[in-house]
Amino acid sequence: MSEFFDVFLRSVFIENLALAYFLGMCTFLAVSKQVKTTLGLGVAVIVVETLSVPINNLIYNHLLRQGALDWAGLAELDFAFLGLLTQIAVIAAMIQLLEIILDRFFPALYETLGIFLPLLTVNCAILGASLFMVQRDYGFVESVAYGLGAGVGWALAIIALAGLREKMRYSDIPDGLQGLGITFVTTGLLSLAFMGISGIIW
Amino acid sequence: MNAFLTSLRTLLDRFVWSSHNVTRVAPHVRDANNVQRMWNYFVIATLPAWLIGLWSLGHQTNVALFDLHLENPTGWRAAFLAWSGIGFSPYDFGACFVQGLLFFLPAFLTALLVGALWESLFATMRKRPVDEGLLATAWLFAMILPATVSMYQVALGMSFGMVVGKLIYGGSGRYLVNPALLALTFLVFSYPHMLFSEGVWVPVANYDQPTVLELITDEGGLTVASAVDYSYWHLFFGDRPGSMGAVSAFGAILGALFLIWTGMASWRVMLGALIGLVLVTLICNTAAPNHPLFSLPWHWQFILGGFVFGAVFLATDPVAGPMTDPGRWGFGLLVGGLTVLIRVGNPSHYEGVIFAILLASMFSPLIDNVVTALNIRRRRARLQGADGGAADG
Repeated sequence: MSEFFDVFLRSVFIENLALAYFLGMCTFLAVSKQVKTTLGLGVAVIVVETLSVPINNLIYNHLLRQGALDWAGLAELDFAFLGLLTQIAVIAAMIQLLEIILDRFFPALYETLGIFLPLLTVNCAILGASLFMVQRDYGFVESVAYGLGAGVGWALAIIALAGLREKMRYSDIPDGLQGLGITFVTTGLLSLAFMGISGIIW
Repeated sequence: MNAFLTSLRTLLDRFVWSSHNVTRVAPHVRDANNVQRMWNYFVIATLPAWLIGLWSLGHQTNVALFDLHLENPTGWRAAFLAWSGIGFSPYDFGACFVQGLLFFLPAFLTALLVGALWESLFATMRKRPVDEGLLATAWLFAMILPATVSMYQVALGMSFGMVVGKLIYGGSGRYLVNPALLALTFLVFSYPHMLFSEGVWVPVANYDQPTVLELITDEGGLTVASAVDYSYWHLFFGDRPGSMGAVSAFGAILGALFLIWTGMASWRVMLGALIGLVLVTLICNTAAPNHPLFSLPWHWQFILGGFVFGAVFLATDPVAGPMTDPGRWGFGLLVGGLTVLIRVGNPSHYEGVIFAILLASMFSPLIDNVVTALNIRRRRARLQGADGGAADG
């Protein structure tokens, strides 16, 4: 169980996808104007990450990697080169499923998320989480923790940024920096703040 | 050029005289007070901590000189002390204070000069009036630096803090984190081996006297502190190696009383930080009673490092912190709790408090947001309840 928390806390605070690896920046910068929107988006990212990373983990470990097909007598086959392709397919399928389910059972949330939900298909934070999972050789339980943690970390970062940007409406920013420019600087400050806790050993 | 000189002159005036313009807009509408005077109160409040801090720095330095048998130390500071007849006695309060002052003044003046240049430049280029609060920023920044800092580092840190932390957001009342705090954090990440590492606290070559927090982290627990003659009240008063002005918990508490009495800083943040520190320390104590750092009692965590200084003078920044009262409690709790977590979790970041305040500042608009949303929900519920009652009647 401590393994689970270890991976979870690391992925939220130390290896934060948005602030340590700068993944998912397009959504991060574009959709962070209001706290309310980012809350919905954050929840969507958490759900997608928590589902897609463990599923990709199962597919990779039991179908694709070398020796994974041992049970069928095909030990020498290595489909690892299909990894990226299947991961993208799984993520796209997850989001389609999620959309159908939300539309049917939670129409209010579906309305709030709107276009962001299909856009998550091409969010590099989500693909990045699956790729890191493969690279770090996580087991199934760890991949659940990692998926959840990566989602929570990204959501936390974008919600904090939205809070700062709401406050910055009262700021008096030079013309050349308005809009995205100051958002990049603010993301840098946020990243600096997260660096302070980056060396924590649990 | 003329406008540039005018803004420089305004800045100079402000160090002594307050401007006549009373604050009318954000951040704080107050009767006869204005932002400049508020920051001057912050500087006045740091004076006890500053006095004790500089005495302590001089004391550590003179003790080191004495220990190493350096009767004729070199350098311009030593030349001045010898020429003026003040000398290097570790037991003379005046001699120690002047020794410390000679380390503090260059850093402070450099920070002030660099800050004034940036302020005037921005004011001229953007055709805005010169901003307030520069003196306090430079002052607080110099106080949290180690004595061995180089002047180019001070200039670099101050530039980053002023420009990225304050000026591009529009100055007073509009920035996101305390500029002095950001300047220090920037330096810590840029020069991790030159600041906050071995031998930086006492500015004597080949002499390493770690801070008490480092000592406890590296050598294992409280027994070490008593083994090298550190008593609790000794450390509480501030006689120990550390940042130039931030070593004295006693001085910072006096400053806190002054700030609370004059109503300049929020007591909720300070008390919240203390409660957060105590809570997380107690959790750590029960979690690992034998670990040297985890088992450190809260009254030791309280006086070690720059916690009190940070919680009183940096965390209470009226712009970077939350604006709502419940939010201030939450912000304080976050600062105190994170300080302990960073200290026990990351032995290379002894001064957990600066990172804790930086991170908490980043979440402070969000804390306000939650408080406001809850408030709206509560009042809406009350309104609907009242309507229902009226309809019934």
